[in-house]
Amino acid sequence: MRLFASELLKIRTAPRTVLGLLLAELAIVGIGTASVIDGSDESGVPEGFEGFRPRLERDLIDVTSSSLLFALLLGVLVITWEYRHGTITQTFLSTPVRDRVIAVKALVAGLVGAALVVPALLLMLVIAEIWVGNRLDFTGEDVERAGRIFLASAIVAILGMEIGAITGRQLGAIVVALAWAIFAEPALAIWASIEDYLPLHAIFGGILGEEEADISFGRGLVTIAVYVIALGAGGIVLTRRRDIT
Amino acid sequence: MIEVEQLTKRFRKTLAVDDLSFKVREGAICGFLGPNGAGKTTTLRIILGLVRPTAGQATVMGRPYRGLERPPFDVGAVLEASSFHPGRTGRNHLRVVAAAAGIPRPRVEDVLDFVHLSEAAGRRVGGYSLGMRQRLSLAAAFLGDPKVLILDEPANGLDPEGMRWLRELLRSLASEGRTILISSHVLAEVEQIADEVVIIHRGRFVAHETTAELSARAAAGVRVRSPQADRLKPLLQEAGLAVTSSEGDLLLVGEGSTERVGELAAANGIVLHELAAEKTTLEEAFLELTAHETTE
Repeated sequence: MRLFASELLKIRTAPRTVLGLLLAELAIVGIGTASVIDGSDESGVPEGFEGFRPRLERDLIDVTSSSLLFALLLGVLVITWEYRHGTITQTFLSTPVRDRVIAVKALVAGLVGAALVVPALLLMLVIAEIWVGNRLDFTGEDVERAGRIFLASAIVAILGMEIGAITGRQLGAIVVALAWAIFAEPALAIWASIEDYLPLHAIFGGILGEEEADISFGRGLVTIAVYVIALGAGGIVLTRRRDIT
Repeated sequence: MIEVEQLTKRFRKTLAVDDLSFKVREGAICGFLGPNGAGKTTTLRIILGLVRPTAGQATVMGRPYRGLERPPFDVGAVLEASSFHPGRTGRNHLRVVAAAAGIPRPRVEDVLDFVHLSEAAGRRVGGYSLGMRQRLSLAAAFLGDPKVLILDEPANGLDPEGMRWLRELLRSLASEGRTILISSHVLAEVEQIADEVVIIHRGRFVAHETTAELSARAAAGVRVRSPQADRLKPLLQEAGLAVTSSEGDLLLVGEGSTERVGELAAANGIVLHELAAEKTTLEEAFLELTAHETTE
Protein backbone atom coordinates (compact mmCIF):
# COMPACT_ATOMS: atom_id res chain seq x y z
CA MET A 1 0.00 0.00 0.00
CA ARG A 2 2.89 2.36 0.88
CA LEU A 3 4.58 1.65 -2.42
CA PHE A 4 1.31 2.10 -4.29
CA ALA A 5 0.78 5.52 -2.65
CA SER A 6 4.35 6.50 -3.49
CA GLU A 7 3.99 5.49 -7.14
CA LEU A 8 0.75 7.45 -7.51
CA LEU A 9 2.41 10.43 -5.85
CA LYS A 10 5.24 10.26 -8.38
CA ILE A 11 2.74 10.74 -11.20
CA ARG A 12 0.81 13.46 -9.39
CA THR A 13 3.93 15.44 -8.52
CA ALA A 14 5.49 15.45 -11.99
CA PRO A 15 2.47 16.95 -13.73
CA ARG A 16 4.08 18.40 -16.85
CA THR A 17 4.54 15.08 -18.64
CA VAL A 18 1.10 13.78 -17.70
CA LEU A 19 -0.50 17.10 -18.61
CA GLY A 20 1.27 17.07 -21.98
CA LEU A 21 -0.06 13.58 -22.73
CA LEU A 22 -3.54 14.56 -21.58
CA LEU A 23 -3.66 17.69 -23.74
CA ALA A 24 -2.48 15.75 -26.80
CA GLU A 25 -5.11 13.10 -26.13
CA LEU A 26 -7.87 15.69 -25.73
CA ALA A 27 -6.80 17.44 -28.94
CA ILE A 28 -7.06 14.19 -30.90
CA VAL A 29 -10.38 13.24 -29.29
CA GLY A 30 -11.75 16.73 -29.96
CA ILE A 31 -10.74 16.64 -33.62
CA GLY A 32 -11.95 13.04 -33.95
CA THR A 33 -15.32 13.81 -32.40
CA ALA A 34 -15.84 16.83 -34.65
CA SER A 35 -14.84 14.79 -37.66
CA VAL A 36 -17.26 11.92 -36.83
CA ILE A 37 -20.17 14.30 -36.23
CA ASP A 38 -19.41 16.29 -39.35
CA GLY A 39 -19.32 13.11 -41.45
CA SER A 40 -22.52 11.69 -40.02
CA ASP A 41 -24.82 13.44 -42.44
CA GLU A 42 -27.69 10.97 -42.97
CA SER A 43 -28.24 12.13 -46.52
CA GLY A 44 -25.10 10.22 -47.57
CA VAL A 45 -26.75 6.80 -47.11
CA PRO A 46 -28.23 5.45 -50.39
CA GLU A 47 -31.84 4.43 -50.46
CA GLY A 48 -32.34 0.78 -49.48
CA PHE A 49 -29.15 0.70 -47.39
CA GLU A 50 -30.51 2.43 -44.26
CA GLY A 51 -29.85 -0.75 -42.23
CA PHE A 52 -26.13 -0.38 -42.92
CA ARG A 53 -26.03 3.20 -41.72
CA PRO A 54 -23.16 3.58 -39.25
CA ARG A 55 -24.34 4.32 -35.72
CA LEU A 56 -23.16 7.77 -34.69
CA GLU A 57 -23.05 6.80 -30.98
CA ARG A 58 -20.78 3.82 -31.63
CA ASP A 59 -18.44 5.90 -33.81
CA LEU A 60 -18.26 8.57 -31.12
CA ILE A 61 -17.37 6.00 -28.46
CA ASP A 62 -14.71 4.60 -30.80
CA VAL A 63 -13.07 8.02 -31.02
CA THR A 64 -12.08 7.67 -27.37
CA SER A 65 -10.08 4.53 -28.15
CA SER A 66 -7.32 6.92 -29.27
CA SER A 67 -6.55 7.08 -25.53
CA LEU A 68 -4.87 3.67 -25.98
CA LEU A 69 -1.85 5.31 -27.61
CA PHE A 70 -1.47 7.70 -24.68
CA ALA A 71 -2.00 4.90 -22.18
CA LEU A 72 0.86 3.03 -23.86
CA LEU A 73 3.14 6.08 -23.65
CA LEU A 74 2.19 6.71 -20.02
CA GLY A 75 2.83 3.06 -19.19
CA VAL A 76 6.30 3.29 -20.72
CA LEU A 77 6.99 6.53 -18.83
CA VAL A 78 5.90 5.14 -15.45
CA ILE A 79 9.16 3.21 -15.27
CA THR A 80 11.51 4.67 -17.88
CA TRP A 81 11.42 8.22 -16.49
CA GLU A 82 12.85 6.72 -13.31
CA TYR A 83 15.81 5.34 -15.26
CA ARG A 84 16.14 8.53 -17.26
CA HIS A 85 16.25 10.84 -14.23
CA GLY A 86 18.10 8.41 -11.97
CA THR A 87 15.26 8.31 -9.43
CA ILE A 88 15.20 4.52 -9.80
CA THR A 89 18.17 4.54 -7.38
CA GLN A 90 16.03 6.04 -4.62
CA THR A 91 13.13 3.74 -5.52
CA PHE A 92 15.28 0.62 -5.11
CA LEU A 93 16.89 1.99 -1.95
CA SER A 94 13.44 2.39 -0.40
CA THR A 95 12.15 -0.93 -1.80
CA PRO A 96 15.08 -3.23 -2.56
CA VAL A 97 12.78 -6.13 -3.51
CA ARG A 98 12.45 -5.13 -7.13
CA ASP A 99 9.67 -7.59 -8.02
CA ARG A 100 7.35 -5.60 -5.77
CA VAL A 101 8.30 -2.34 -7.49
CA ILE A 102 7.49 -3.81 -10.92
CA ALA A 103 4.21 -5.33 -9.72
CA VAL A 104 3.04 -2.06 -8.16
CA LYS A 105 4.13 -0.05 -11.20
CA ALA A 106 2.07 -2.40 -13.39
CA LEU A 107 -0.94 -1.84 -11.16
CA VAL A 108 -0.49 1.93 -11.20
CA ALA A 109 0.07 1.96 -14.98
CA GLY A 110 -3.16 -0.02 -15.46
CA LEU A 111 -5.18 2.31 -13.26
CA VAL A 112 -3.78 5.51 -14.74
CA GLY A 113 -4.05 4.08 -18.27
CA ALA A 114 -7.75 3.35 -17.71
CA ALA A 115 -8.22 6.76 -16.09
CA LEU A 116 -7.00 8.41 -19.30
CA VAL A 117 -10.24 7.30 -20.96
CA VAL A 118 -12.34 9.40 -18.57
CA PRO A 119 -11.38 12.87 -19.88
CA ALA A 120 -11.57 11.55 -23.46
CA LEU A 121 -15.13 10.30 -22.88
CA LEU A 122 -16.17 13.50 -21.11
CA LEU A 123 -14.83 15.72 -23.87
CA MET A 124 -16.50 13.59 -26.54
CA LEU A 125 -19.83 13.70 -24.68
CA VAL A 126 -19.68 17.46 -24.16
CA ILE A 127 -18.93 18.15 -27.83
CA ALA A 128 -21.54 15.66 -29.02
CA GLU A 129 -24.20 16.99 -26.65
CA ILE A 130 -23.63 20.57 -27.76
CA TRP A 131 -23.49 19.70 -31.47
CA VAL A 132 -25.92 16.85 -32.06
CA GLY A 133 -27.48 16.23 -28.63
CA ASN A 134 -30.95 15.81 -30.12
CA ARG A 135 -29.79 12.91 -32.35
CA LEU A 136 -27.97 10.90 -29.68
CA ASP A 137 -29.38 7.78 -28.07
CA PHE A 138 -26.68 5.82 -26.24
CA THR A 139 -27.63 2.23 -25.51
CA GLY A 140 -26.30 -0.47 -23.21
CA GLU A 141 -24.19 -1.70 -26.11
CA ASP A 142 -22.42 1.67 -26.22
CA VAL A 143 -21.78 1.57 -22.49
CA GLU A 144 -20.30 -1.92 -22.86
CA ARG A 145 -18.11 -0.64 -25.68
CA ALA A 146 -16.85 2.19 -23.47
CA GLY A 147 -16.11 -0.39 -20.77
CA ARG A 148 -14.04 -2.39 -23.25
CA ILE A 149 -12.04 0.75 -24.06
CA PHE A 150 -11.32 1.22 -20.33
CA LEU A 151 -10.10 -2.37 -20.12
CA ALA A 152 -8.00 -2.15 -23.30
CA SER A 153 -6.45 1.12 -22.16
CA ALA A 154 -5.46 -0.42 -18.82
CA ILE A 155 -3.93 -3.47 -20.54
CA VAL A 156 -2.01 -1.37 -23.06
CA ALA A 157 -0.59 0.78 -20.23
CA ILE A 158 0.55 -2.35 -18.37
CA LEU A 159 2.19 -3.66 -21.56
CA GLY A 160 3.92 -0.28 -22.00
CA MET A 161 5.27 -0.44 -18.45
CA GLU A 162 6.52 -3.97 -19.01
CA ILE A 163 8.28 -3.02 -22.26
CA GLY A 164 9.82 -0.11 -20.34
CA ALA A 165 10.97 -2.48 -17.59
CA ILE A 166 12.60 -4.75 -20.15
CA THR A 167 14.41 -2.04 -22.12
CA GLY A 168 15.11 0.33 -19.23
CA ARG A 169 15.16 3.14 -21.77
CA GLN A 170 12.42 5.62 -22.61
CA LEU A 171 13.10 6.08 -26.31
CA GLY A 172 13.97 2.42 -26.76
CA ALA A 173 10.67 1.28 -25.25
CA ILE A 174 8.60 3.69 -27.34
CA VAL A 175 10.44 2.71 -30.54
CA VAL A 176 9.95 -1.02 -29.77
CA ALA A 177 6.22 -0.55 -29.10
CA LEU A 178 5.59 1.59 -32.18
CA ALA A 179 7.75 -0.61 -34.43
CA TRP A 180 5.72 -3.61 -33.30
CA ALA A 181 2.42 -1.83 -33.99
CA ILE A 182 3.39 -0.32 -37.32
CA PHE A 183 5.69 -2.94 -38.88
CA ALA A 184 6.03 -6.22 -37.01
CA GLU A 185 2.43 -7.15 -36.28
CA PRO A 186 1.02 -6.18 -39.70
CA ALA A 187 3.83 -8.21 -41.31
CA LEU A 188 3.15 -11.25 -39.10
CA ALA A 189 -0.61 -10.92 -39.59
CA ILE A 190 -0.13 -12.00 -43.20
CA TRP A 191 -0.19 -15.57 -41.86
CA ALA A 192 -3.78 -16.08 -40.87
CA SER A 193 -2.88 -19.03 -38.66
CA ILE A 194 -0.98 -16.85 -36.20
CA GLU A 195 -3.03 -13.68 -36.46
CA ASP A 196 -5.27 -14.67 -33.54
CA TYR A 197 -2.22 -14.95 -31.30
CA LEU A 198 -0.87 -11.46 -31.98
CA PRO A 199 -1.29 -8.90 -29.18
CA LEU A 200 -2.79 -5.96 -31.07
CA HIS A 201 -5.21 -8.29 -32.85
CA ALA A 202 -6.23 -9.63 -29.45
CA ILE A 203 -6.77 -6.09 -28.13
CA PHE A 204 -8.53 -4.50 -31.08
CA GLY A 205 -10.30 -7.60 -32.36
CA GLY A 206 -11.03 -9.48 -29.15
CA ILE A 207 -11.34 -6.85 -26.44
CA LEU A 208 -12.54 -3.85 -28.43
CA GLY A 209 -14.55 -6.14 -30.75
CA GLU A 210 -13.77 -4.54 -34.11
CA GLU A 211 -16.35 -5.73 -36.57
CA GLU A 212 -13.98 -7.20 -39.15
CA ALA A 213 -12.11 -9.29 -36.54
CA ASP A 214 -13.16 -12.88 -35.94
CA ILE A 215 -11.74 -13.32 -32.45
CA SER A 216 -14.01 -13.55 -29.41
CA PHE A 217 -13.68 -11.32 -26.34
CA GLY A 218 -12.72 -14.29 -24.13
CA ARG A 219 -10.07 -15.56 -26.52
CA GLY A 220 -8.67 -12.05 -26.95
CA LEU A 221 -8.49 -11.63 -23.19
CA VAL A 222 -6.69 -14.95 -22.69
CA THR A 223 -4.25 -14.18 -25.50
CA ILE A 224 -3.38 -10.75 -24.16
CA ALA A 225 -3.12 -12.13 -20.61
CA VAL A 226 -0.38 -14.46 -21.85
CA TYR A 227 1.51 -11.46 -23.25
CA VAL A 228 1.03 -9.49 -20.01
CA ILE A 229 2.37 -12.40 -17.95
CA ALA A 230 5.27 -13.17 -20.31
CA LEU A 231 6.40 -9.55 -20.65
CA GLY A 232 5.90 -9.02 -16.91
CA ALA A 233 8.11 -12.02 -16.13
CA GLY A 234 10.72 -10.73 -18.56
CA GLY A 235 10.57 -7.27 -16.98
CA ILE A 236 10.99 -8.69 -13.48
CA VAL A 237 13.92 -10.94 -14.41
CA LEU A 238 15.78 -8.16 -16.25
CA THR A 239 15.04 -5.58 -13.56
CA ARG A 240 16.34 -7.95 -10.88
CA ARG A 241 19.56 -8.48 -12.81
CA ARG A 242 20.09 -4.87 -13.85
CA ASP A 243 22.91 -2.99 -12.15
CA ILE A 244 21.93 0.52 -11.11
CA THR A 245 25.21 2.34 -11.71
CA MET B 1 28.04 -3.11 11.26
CA ILE B 2 29.09 -2.89 7.59
CA GLU B 3 30.97 -5.90 6.30
CA VAL B 4 32.42 -6.46 2.86
CA GLU B 5 33.74 -9.96 2.20
CA GLN B 6 35.85 -10.93 -0.79
CA LEU B 7 33.83 -8.66 -3.01
CA THR B 8 34.48 -8.77 -6.73
CA LYS B 9 32.63 -6.94 -9.47
CA ARG B 10 33.39 -7.23 -13.14
CA PHE B 11 31.67 -5.09 -15.78
CA ARG B 12 32.40 -7.04 -18.97
CA LYS B 13 36.16 -6.61 -19.39
CA THR B 14 36.58 -4.10 -16.56
CA LEU B 15 37.38 -5.38 -13.10
CA ALA B 16 35.89 -2.65 -10.89
CA VAL B 17 36.28 -4.36 -7.50
CA ASP B 18 38.81 -7.10 -6.89
CA ASP B 19 38.46 -9.42 -3.88
CA LEU B 20 37.82 -6.53 -1.51
CA SER B 21 37.22 -7.13 2.20
CA PHE B 22 36.83 -4.74 5.12
CA LYS B 23 34.60 -4.10 8.13
CA VAL B 24 33.30 -0.87 9.59
CA ARG B 25 32.59 -1.20 13.30
CA GLU B 26 29.47 0.17 14.94
CA GLY B 27 29.65 3.87 15.78
CA ALA B 28 32.69 4.58 13.61
CA ILE B 29 33.08 7.28 11.00
CA CYS B 30 35.04 5.52 8.30
CA GLY B 31 36.51 7.35 5.33
CA PHE B 32 36.50 5.37 2.11
CA LEU B 33 39.36 6.60 -0.01
CA GLY B 34 40.81 5.88 -3.38
CA PRO B 35 41.68 7.70 -6.59
CA ASN B 36 39.02 8.22 -9.25
CA GLY B 37 38.04 4.88 -10.75
CA ALA B 38 39.27 2.95 -7.72
CA GLY B 39 35.89 1.23 -7.30
CA LYS B 40 34.52 3.24 -4.36
CA THR B 41 31.12 4.01 -5.86
CA THR B 42 30.71 0.47 -7.18
CA THR B 43 31.49 -0.92 -3.73
CA LEU B 44 28.99 1.41 -2.05
CA ARG B 45 26.32 0.47 -4.60
CA ILE B 46 26.96 -3.21 -3.98
CA ILE B 47 26.58 -2.62 -0.23
CA LEU B 48 23.25 -0.90 -0.97
CA GLY B 49 21.98 -3.72 -3.20
CA LEU B 50 21.97 -1.61 -6.35
CA VAL B 51 24.74 -3.52 -8.11
CA ARG B 52 25.05 -7.31 -8.06
CA PRO B 53 28.51 -8.53 -7.11
CA THR B 54 30.25 -11.03 -9.37
CA ALA B 55 31.54 -12.75 -6.24
CA GLY B 56 31.56 -12.17 -2.49
CA GLN B 57 28.99 -10.36 -0.42
CA ALA B 58 28.32 -7.19 1.52
CA THR B 59 26.14 -6.92 4.60
CA VAL B 60 24.78 -4.11 6.73
CA MET B 61 23.81 -4.94 10.31
CA GLY B 62 24.47 -8.58 9.51
CA ARG B 63 22.17 -8.81 6.48
CA PRO B 64 22.38 -8.08 2.79
CA TYR B 65 20.70 -4.72 2.11
CA ARG B 66 17.86 -6.49 0.30
CA GLY B 67 17.22 -8.52 3.42
CA LEU B 68 16.63 -5.49 5.65
CA GLU B 69 12.99 -5.27 6.70
CA ARG B 70 12.64 -1.48 6.47
CA PRO B 71 15.83 -0.22 4.82
CA PRO B 72 15.24 3.56 5.11
CA PHE B 73 15.02 3.19 8.89
CA ASP B 74 18.31 1.28 9.03
CA VAL B 75 20.44 2.82 6.30
CA GLY B 76 20.49 6.30 4.79
CA ALA B 77 22.39 6.80 1.57
CA VAL B 78 23.63 9.72 -0.49
CA LEU B 79 24.87 8.52 -3.84
CA GLU B 80 24.69 11.26 -6.43
CA ALA B 81 23.24 14.71 -6.67
CA SER B 82 21.50 14.15 -10.00
CA SER B 83 18.91 11.52 -9.08
CA PHE B 84 15.88 13.76 -9.10
CA HIS B 85 12.96 14.37 -11.41
CA PRO B 86 13.65 17.97 -12.47
CA GLY B 87 9.96 18.84 -12.58
CA ARG B 88 9.28 17.72 -9.03
CA THR B 89 9.73 20.10 -6.09
CA GLY B 90 12.21 19.29 -3.35
CA ARG B 91 9.39 18.79 -0.87
CA ASN B 92 7.52 16.45 -3.22
CA HIS B 93 10.69 14.44 -3.85
CA LEU B 94 10.94 13.81 -0.12
CA ARG B 95 7.21 13.05 0.13
CA VAL B 96 7.58 10.37 -2.54
CA VAL B 97 10.49 8.79 -0.66
CA ALA B 98 8.66 9.09 2.66
CA ALA B 99 5.50 7.52 1.24
CA ALA B 100 7.42 4.50 -0.06
CA ALA B 101 9.05 3.98 3.31
CA GLY B 102 5.94 4.63 5.40
CA ILE B 103 7.48 7.69 7.02
CA PRO B 104 4.94 10.26 8.31
CA ARG B 105 4.68 13.48 6.29
CA PRO B 106 5.68 15.87 9.12
CA ARG B 107 9.12 14.26 9.09
CA VAL B 108 9.63 15.74 5.59
CA GLU B 109 9.42 19.25 7.03
CA ASP B 110 11.79 18.26 9.83
CA VAL B 111 14.51 17.06 7.49
CA LEU B 112 14.03 20.03 5.15
CA ASP B 113 14.67 22.27 8.11
CA PHE B 114 17.57 20.06 9.19
CA VAL B 115 19.39 20.60 5.87
CA HIS B 116 18.36 24.28 5.62
CA LEU B 117 16.20 23.77 2.53
CA SER B 118 12.78 24.76 3.88
CA GLU B 119 12.62 27.99 1.91
CA ALA B 120 13.51 26.34 -1.41
CA ALA B 121 11.39 23.23 -0.83
CA GLY B 122 8.53 24.48 -3.00
CA ARG B 123 10.78 25.06 -6.03
CA ARG B 124 11.37 22.51 -8.78
CA VAL B 125 14.60 20.55 -8.31
CA GLY B 126 15.59 21.37 -11.90
CA GLY B 127 16.35 24.89 -10.68
CA TYR B 128 18.47 23.80 -7.72
CA SER B 129 22.23 24.35 -7.53
CA LEU B 130 24.49 21.32 -7.09
CA GLY B 131 24.88 22.17 -3.40
CA MET B 132 21.10 22.34 -2.90
CA ARG B 133 20.70 18.96 -4.60
CA GLN B 134 23.34 17.55 -2.32
CA ARG B 135 21.44 18.87 0.70
CA LEU B 136 18.25 17.32 -0.69
CA SER B 137 20.05 13.99 -1.05
CA LEU B 138 21.14 14.28 2.58
CA ALA B 139 17.58 15.12 3.61
CA ALA B 140 16.32 11.96 1.87
CA ALA B 141 19.00 9.92 3.64
CA PHE B 142 17.95 11.31 7.04
CA LEU B 143 14.22 10.73 6.52
CA GLY B 144 14.18 7.39 8.36
CA ASP B 145 16.56 8.59 11.07
CA PRO B 146 18.83 5.64 10.20
CA LYS B 147 21.53 4.03 12.31
CA VAL B 148 23.90 3.70 9.36
CA LEU B 149 24.81 6.35 6.80
CA ILE B 150 26.55 5.57 3.53
CA LEU B 151 27.64 8.73 1.79
CA ASP B 152 29.32 8.93 -1.61
CA GLU B 153 31.15 12.23 -1.96
CA PRO B 154 28.58 14.15 0.11
CA ALA B 155 30.64 17.33 0.10
CA ASN B 156 30.48 17.62 -3.70
CA GLY B 157 29.01 20.95 -4.69
CA LEU B 158 28.88 22.34 -1.18
CA ASP B 159 30.42 25.75 -0.59
CA PRO B 160 32.94 26.18 2.27
CA GLU B 161 30.14 27.05 4.69
CA GLY B 162 28.18 24.01 3.55
CA MET B 163 31.23 21.80 4.00
CA ARG B 164 31.72 23.05 7.53
CA TRP B 165 28.02 22.43 8.20
CA LEU B 166 28.34 18.90 6.82
CA ARG B 167 31.43 18.23 8.93
CA GLU B 168 29.71 19.37 12.11
CA LEU B 169 26.58 17.47 11.18
CA LEU B 170 28.46 14.22 10.65
CA ARG B 171 30.34 14.64 13.92
CA SER B 172 27.06 15.23 15.71
CA LEU B 173 25.50 12.15 14.07
CA ALA B 174 28.51 10.04 14.98
CA SER B 175 28.33 11.22 18.58
CA GLU B 176 24.85 9.70 18.67
CA GLY B 177 26.44 6.32 17.95
CA ARG B 178 25.63 6.10 14.27
CA THR B 179 27.93 4.34 11.86
CA ILE B 180 29.05 6.40 8.87
CA LEU B 181 30.90 5.23 5.76
CA ILE B 182 31.89 8.24 3.71
CA SER B 183 33.76 8.24 0.43
CA SER B 184 35.50 11.35 -0.75
CA HIS B 185 38.22 12.56 -3.01
CA VAL B 186 38.63 15.62 -0.79
CA LEU B 187 41.04 13.86 1.50
CA ALA B 188 41.43 16.79 3.85
CA GLU B 189 37.70 16.62 4.53
CA VAL B 190 37.84 12.96 5.49
CA GLU B 191 40.89 13.61 7.64
CA GLN B 192 38.87 16.07 9.69
CA ILE B 193 35.83 13.83 10.03
CA ALA B 194 36.86 10.19 10.01
CA ASP B 195 38.15 8.04 12.86
CA GLU B 196 39.48 5.48 10.42
CA VAL B 197 39.97 5.06 6.71
CA VAL B 198 39.74 2.25 4.21
CA ILE B 199 41.89 2.85 1.15
CA ILE B 200 41.36 1.03 -2.11
CA HIS B 201 43.13 1.33 -5.42
CA ARG B 202 42.15 -0.30 -8.71
CA GLY B 203 39.40 -2.13 -6.85
CA ARG B 204 41.83 -3.71 -4.40
CA PHE B 205 42.25 -3.27 -0.69
CA VAL B 206 45.26 -1.15 0.25
CA ALA B 207 44.87 -0.26 3.92
CA HIS B 208 42.41 0.01 6.80
CA GLU B 209 43.80 2.12 9.59
CA THR B 210 42.92 4.87 11.98
CA THR B 211 43.66 8.30 10.57
CA ALA B 212 46.44 8.69 13.14
CA GLU B 213 48.03 5.41 12.07
CA LEU B 214 47.78 6.41 8.46
CA SER B 215 49.47 9.75 9.10
CA ALA B 216 52.22 8.04 11.06
CA ARG B 217 52.71 5.54 8.28
CA ALA B 218 54.33 8.06 5.97
CA ALA B 219 57.85 8.92 7.05
CA ALA B 220 57.68 11.84 9.43
CA GLY B 221 60.64 14.19 9.51
CA VAL B 222 62.18 17.19 11.20
CA ARG B 223 62.70 20.57 9.63
CA VAL B 224 65.79 22.41 10.86
CA ARG B 225 67.00 25.86 9.89
CA SER B 226 70.39 26.96 11.14
CA PRO B 227 73.08 29.46 10.08
CA GLN B 228 75.51 26.61 10.90
CA ALA B 229 73.76 23.99 8.74
CA ASP B 230 77.12 22.94 7.27
CA ARG B 231 78.33 21.91 10.74
CA LEU B 232 75.04 20.34 11.80
CA LYS B 233 74.59 18.10 8.78
CA PRO B 234 77.57 15.77 9.39
CA LEU B 235 76.75 15.64 13.10
CA LEU B 236 73.25 14.43 12.30
CA GLN B 237 74.60 11.82 9.92
CA GLU B 238 77.12 10.62 12.49
CA ALA B 239 74.21 10.21 14.92
CA GLY B 240 72.49 7.95 12.39
CA LEU B 241 69.87 10.50 11.27
CA ALA B 242 69.39 10.67 7.50
CA VAL B 243 69.36 14.16 6.03
CA THR B 244 66.96 13.90 3.13
CA SER B 245 67.33 17.44 1.88
CA SER B 246 69.86 20.20 2.32
CA GLU B 247 69.39 23.61 0.82
CA GLY B 248 71.21 26.67 2.16
CA ASP B 249 70.46 26.96 5.87
CA LEU B 250 67.59 24.45 5.69
CA LEU B 251 67.91 20.76 6.47
CA LEU B 252 65.22 18.13 6.33
CA VAL B 253 65.88 15.15 8.54
CA GLY B 254 64.04 12.03 7.41
CA GLU B 255 63.83 10.35 10.79
CA GLY B 256 64.14 11.23 14.45
CA SER B 257 62.39 13.60 16.77
CA THR B 258 62.71 17.33 17.27
CA GLU B 259 64.00 16.56 20.78
CA ARG B 260 66.90 14.49 19.48
CA VAL B 261 67.89 17.00 16.80
CA GLY B 262 67.59 19.92 19.28
CA GLU B 263 69.68 18.17 21.92
CA LEU B 264 72.36 17.29 19.36
CA ALA B 265 72.55 20.91 18.21
CA ALA B 266 72.70 22.24 21.79
CA ALA B 267 75.41 19.77 22.79
CA ASN B 268 77.53 21.07 19.92
CA GLY B 269 76.75 24.76 20.43
CA ILE B 270 74.90 25.14 17.15
CA VAL B 271 72.39 27.96 16.82
CA LEU B 272 68.95 26.98 15.48
CA HIS B 273 66.52 29.42 13.89
CA GLU B 274 63.81 26.83 13.34
CA LEU B 275 63.10 23.34 14.61
CA ALA B 276 59.78 21.75 13.71
CA ALA B 277 58.25 18.35 13.13
CA GLU B 278 57.17 17.94 9.53
CA LYS B 279 53.48 17.19 9.76
CA THR B 280 52.38 14.46 7.39
CA THR B 281 48.89 14.93 6.00
CA LEU B 282 46.53 12.13 5.26
CA GLU B 283 46.79 13.10 1.63
CA GLU B 284 50.52 12.56 1.59
CA ALA B 285 50.16 9.23 3.35
CA PHE B 286 47.39 8.27 0.96
CA LEU B 287 49.40 9.22 -2.10
CA GLU B 288 52.36 7.26 -0.82
CA LEU B 289 50.22 4.19 -0.22
CA THR B 290 48.50 4.27 -3.59
CA ALA B 291 51.76 5.10 -5.38
CA HIS B 292 53.29 2.06 -3.72
CA GLU B 293 50.33 -0.03 -4.87
CA THR B 294 50.68 1.27 -8.43
CA THR B 295 54.32 0.33 -8.71
CA GLU B 296 53.72 -3.21 -7.49
